[in-house]
Amino acid sequence: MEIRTCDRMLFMKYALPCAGTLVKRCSITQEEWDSLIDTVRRNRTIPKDAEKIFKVAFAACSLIALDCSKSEIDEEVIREYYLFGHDEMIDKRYEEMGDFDPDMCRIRPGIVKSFENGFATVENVHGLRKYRTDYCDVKRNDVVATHWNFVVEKIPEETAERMKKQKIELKVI
Amino acid sequence: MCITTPGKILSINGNKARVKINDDVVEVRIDLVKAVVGDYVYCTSGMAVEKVE
Repeated sequence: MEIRTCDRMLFMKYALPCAGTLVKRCSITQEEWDSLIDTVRRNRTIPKDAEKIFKVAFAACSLIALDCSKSEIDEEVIREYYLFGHDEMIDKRYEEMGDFDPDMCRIRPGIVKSFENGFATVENVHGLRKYRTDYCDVKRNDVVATHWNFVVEKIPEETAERMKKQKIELKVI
Repeated sequence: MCITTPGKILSINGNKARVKINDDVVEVRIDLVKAVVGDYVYCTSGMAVEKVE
């Protein structure tokens, strides 16, 4: 299974914010992480197989694609995993590994409220938090998905509502 | 998030396998690997992600 070429960037935008855990585990170096973030930020070509660093996310996306009878991981699969499958995976991984902060790892919907020094202040279930906006251009009142300290992308309001509903059901708000 | 654990496939039923990891037997999906009973696979979070060669 591979990621559709045009959707590799989207996968990396969602995956990279929590790669600090991989640095901590010495799976990748801080320099490699910084370099990948820079590649995404500058919208440059992602190195071959870079997404396979994220074995769990890549495998989970592969299974979703297979379940949908798709031959490639596309943007729909990536969003299905990261926006709706990631929370359950985090809980499983936390049970197995216990070496990261599951709360920080959750991808949350929020609304952009203001900007300051290159950071966006986003209102979400935790109140107001500052996030990096390297990955995407957002403006005030945009509905966005956040992961760790990054705004990942703008999302439709209906998607945000579905995420909130699922988080309440999973009790991970 | 991506440390995997090797385990031995004890049985296969469709796209699922019972895998012995340390002293535990867990059920994992094996859609992503070409493996047969007796093979070792790297597992994580209910998925076999790679065959141990």
